[in-house]
Amino acid sequence: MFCSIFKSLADRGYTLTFKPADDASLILSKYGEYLYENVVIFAPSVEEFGGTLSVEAFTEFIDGGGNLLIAGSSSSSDLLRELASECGFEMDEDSTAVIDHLNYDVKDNEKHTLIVADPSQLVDSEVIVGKKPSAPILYKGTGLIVDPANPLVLSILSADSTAYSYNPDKPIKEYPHAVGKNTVLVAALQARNNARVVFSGSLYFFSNEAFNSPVQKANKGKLFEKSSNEAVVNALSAWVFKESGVIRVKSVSHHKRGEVSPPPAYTIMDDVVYRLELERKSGNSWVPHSANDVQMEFVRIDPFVRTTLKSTAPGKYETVFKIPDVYGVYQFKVIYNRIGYTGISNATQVSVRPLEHTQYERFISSAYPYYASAFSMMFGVFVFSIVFLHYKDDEKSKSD
Amino acid sequence: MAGVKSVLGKIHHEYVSNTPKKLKIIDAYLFYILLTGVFQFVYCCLVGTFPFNSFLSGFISCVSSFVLGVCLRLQVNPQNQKDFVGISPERGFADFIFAHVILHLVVMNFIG
Amino acid sequence: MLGKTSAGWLLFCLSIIINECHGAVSTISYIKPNDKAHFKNVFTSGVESKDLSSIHYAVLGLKLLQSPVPKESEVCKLLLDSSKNPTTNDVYYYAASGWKALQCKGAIVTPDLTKKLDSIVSQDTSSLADIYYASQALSSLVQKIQDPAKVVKNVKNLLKKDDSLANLGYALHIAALLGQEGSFMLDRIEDIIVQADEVDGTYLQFEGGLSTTALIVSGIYQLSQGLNKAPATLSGEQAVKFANYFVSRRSVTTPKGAYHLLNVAKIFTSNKFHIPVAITGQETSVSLEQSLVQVSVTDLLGSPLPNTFTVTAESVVKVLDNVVVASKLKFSPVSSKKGFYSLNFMDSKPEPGNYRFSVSAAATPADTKLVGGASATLGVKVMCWLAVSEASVGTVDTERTTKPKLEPVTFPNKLSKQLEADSQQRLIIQFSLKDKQTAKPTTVHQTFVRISNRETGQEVVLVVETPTTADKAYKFDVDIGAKSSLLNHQSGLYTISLIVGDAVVTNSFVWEVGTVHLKLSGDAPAAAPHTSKSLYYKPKPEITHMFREAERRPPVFVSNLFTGLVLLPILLLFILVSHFENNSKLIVITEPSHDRMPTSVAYCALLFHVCLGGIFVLFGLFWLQFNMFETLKYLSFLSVATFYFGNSLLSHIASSKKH
Repeated sequence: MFCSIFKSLADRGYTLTFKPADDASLILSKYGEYLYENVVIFAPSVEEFGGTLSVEAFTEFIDGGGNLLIAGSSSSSDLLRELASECGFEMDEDSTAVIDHLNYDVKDNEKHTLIVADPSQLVDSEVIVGKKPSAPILYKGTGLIVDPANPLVLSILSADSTAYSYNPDKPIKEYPHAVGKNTVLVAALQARNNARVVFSGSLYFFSNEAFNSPVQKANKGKLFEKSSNEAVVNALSAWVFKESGVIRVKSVSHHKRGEVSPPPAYTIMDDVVYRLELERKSGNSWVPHSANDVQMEFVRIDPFVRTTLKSTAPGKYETVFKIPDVYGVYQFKVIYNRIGYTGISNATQVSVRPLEHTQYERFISSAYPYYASAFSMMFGVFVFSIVFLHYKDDEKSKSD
Repeated sequence: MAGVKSVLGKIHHEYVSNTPKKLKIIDAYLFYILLTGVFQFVYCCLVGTFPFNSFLSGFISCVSSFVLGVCLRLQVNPQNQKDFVGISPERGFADFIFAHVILHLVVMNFIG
Repeated sequence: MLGKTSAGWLLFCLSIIINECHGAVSTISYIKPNDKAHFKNVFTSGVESKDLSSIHYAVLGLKLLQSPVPKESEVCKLLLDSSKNPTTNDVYYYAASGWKALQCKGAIVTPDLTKKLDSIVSQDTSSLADIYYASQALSSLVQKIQDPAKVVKNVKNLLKKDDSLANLGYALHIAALLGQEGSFMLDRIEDIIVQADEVDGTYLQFEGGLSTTALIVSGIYQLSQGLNKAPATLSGEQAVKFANYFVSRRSVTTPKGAYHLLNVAKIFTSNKFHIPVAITGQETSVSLEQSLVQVSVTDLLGSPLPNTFTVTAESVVKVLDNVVVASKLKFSPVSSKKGFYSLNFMDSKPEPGNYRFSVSAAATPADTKLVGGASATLGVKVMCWLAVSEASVGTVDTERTTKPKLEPVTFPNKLSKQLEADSQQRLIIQFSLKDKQTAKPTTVHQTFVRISNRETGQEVVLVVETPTTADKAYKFDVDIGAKSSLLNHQSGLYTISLIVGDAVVTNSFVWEVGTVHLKLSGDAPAAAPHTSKSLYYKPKPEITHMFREAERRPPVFVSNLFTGLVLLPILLLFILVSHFENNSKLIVITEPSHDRMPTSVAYCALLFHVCLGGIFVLFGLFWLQFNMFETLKYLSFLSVATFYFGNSLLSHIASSKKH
């Protein structure tokens, strides 16, 4: 049922280990080291994880940098609900499904739970979901909601504004868990340590059947030969397992303009050149990463200067600026968070000293009168001493 | 008005006839220092105190020279001789020169 | 970093889907045309592969589907070549069986080959898999096994050593080829069946997945068919459960799996013992326009069965309240489509909703071979067409001091004029939904009101509560002030839409009712950049440092003017001094009379003044280039000299004064 997705993962070089979710031999880490880098949980109705696994174990796994791909369904267990809420997503109750009476597939003749999602409902990020496909996406499962104030959680695929998540067999007596565009079908979390978790409310979304089905919206929709599920899932799995969208700082260098290596300390009002190199993972190697919105901050406690770095060559960025006239210990900070990419947080500490006593301006034109007066005083003493010591007394001359 | 004028005239006459030449030379020297200081001060009032260290050293140079000059005048005035028992006017002049050397060293260091 | 491959390790946690249990088991479905198309794709790409096993299964699969095999002659040649230098024993099987399926021209069989295959089946060092492959190859090559008794002994010994499910499967197939000699396996069928795993009361499978299960099941039927003895311990219900398992694996993507599936499905349509009957709903949505519920009664591959059936809906239950609305409704055959049966459900005048049919198909005359047709569950929807009536929209004060002003509006038009509302008012929408045919008021699952900002697209969706009154009139009443935070306190033009939908409504719709101008109070809260989602991923505003302003400086002209002014008193000094002295200096030096200094003293005087001047010049140089240390160094020399000369000069002056 899922061999398409497993086969594509195996083709990309992963070593796959399959185990039932309640297998007693499940183990994630041994002697403090994790045995796996990524975990896929296709077990929506598991009541309890087997072996040493638990929701806490998975949370620690994410904290340790591991990635998770989880699929739920309309009949998910509370354990999965708990795991979802640890990651920042709220899953709807048991036996609920995303229903859309205006955007369902013709194959769905019953409760309108096989949703046809338009590619425009995907997150606008080529890094996460690949190029925008032309065919729509099939989805059948429960709905999620995502805290709109949490910047680490993204909605990868959301439903149309006519959709809602509720138990299709029960009349609506209270506000549904998710309504309209707030209904998230596939959500993702990129933690601050760059671990990635993707949670889908539908196991069907990943199945062979969804990959190979034709898609047609009921009520005279256009027929598409094949859904885009396979393309989107392949791109999404590449993103969540950190094949794509991984960037890092290759090198940082800074020095005074005109020099080559950094001084032990900068002086205020120096011109500084700051260079940064970013690279992006591509296959097994790293290639230069180009962007036009990388910013560098010069921070003491608050940023004094924030500039956008200019790109001098692919992957190489540079900026030239004047150090403020306030001395102290500063940091060159580059904080780069963009949707789909790993976060970059790089700081280099430098000290900025005030001017040495020999670096102040001298021979200022507006001080000429004062210079003149000082020399004049010296000259005056000199002349006075001559006159005073060798003057001729009046009395003496009178006596002559 | 007329009284002030006659008083000033009398002072002037007294000064010219009764002051020894030595002292008159010092007075001329002091007057020169005074003028220099006044011009500097006027300049500072006009354009502000930038650069402050230069202003201070230039002005202090004038003021200190004036003070040293006054000290010398006191020591050298024959009418004050009983106040300076054991210190000859030449000794006073030597102190004067010594103080000036130190003064001008400091002024040159501070003037920037 | 962890010493793993750079691509990574993946751990999969899987689970098994839980379904509801039924009473008697029915066949869930059959192999549909799009499944066959999917298999055809799998086989076509299998033929292109380099792997002999995949090519073999792909060829056999295409032949099963009665599809042409591309590049037949090339495949034949490949099979012939591989049979000459086989690395493993299964190659014989693939080559021979593929050759037979393709009916390749020429001969693949050689006396050597036959002898080799015979030796494999007779040797007691061969494994069961080897014996299986060799015997299958011999059968494809239309060659007889020389010593069947020896083969039987071999198989029995090997099974004693290892009777895993795969081996049992091979043994079944080998026995099927041995004719009467193979009857020893009949007794083992019971043991084999017991090892099957039942899932949810609907599926039966063996550990080892699709291929192993298919091998065993096809082996059982082939053996039983060959010996004309029904597999006593395999009941019809178990056969149906096996069939259900195979149908559930129809999205398999390997040629081997697909071939096994198709092969066993074919066996299930043409064996003498169990033929699973699939009752499938073909038309399960009825309305006044289309009032017929249609079902098809077919075998596992979708072909109609030769028997005549009586198809009955044993019971019809409304899903919402579990009430039985009808029972024993008879379906009539559709003349144009063989195997299709229809029933006019609208005759029972059902209300719109979801219904559960329990359908049975009994053959007349009764046929014990047919299984799985006792009670198939069918979901049927009775659809209706909705009409909106008595709709009106308006506003009223929150305190309800005045009567609400409601504007009537007809579906699908919009309000004629724009509404005005602010945070102190409530928005009211009233409407009622009617079934177009029966004109009775009805309620639906989804009735939402969407208020969306025309410029920003921000929207809020609110639920209209299902009415409990008898007239089922919907009343929507919302306090705008309470919801203004959801709209981010943005005043402006908003569109009001009514979203009505239900699974049984044919015309679910979004109706743009009208426009309202909302005046919302309150301020939208400011977003903090490092936590607010909208600002977290965007570049932050640039900051440039404001440097302290340099002090204002006077123009150079003014400085120069005052420099001159400051130097002016020097002139005055000279004038005053010359006024006091007339050529005094000259007198001192040139006058030859008394008061003239001794020469040495004169030199002291001169040198004293020179040294003093030198000190001042040194200070000038200190200002220009020297640092303090150098200056002090020179000063020390000069001051010693100045002191000496000054001392001698002053002591001369002092002593001359005494006179």
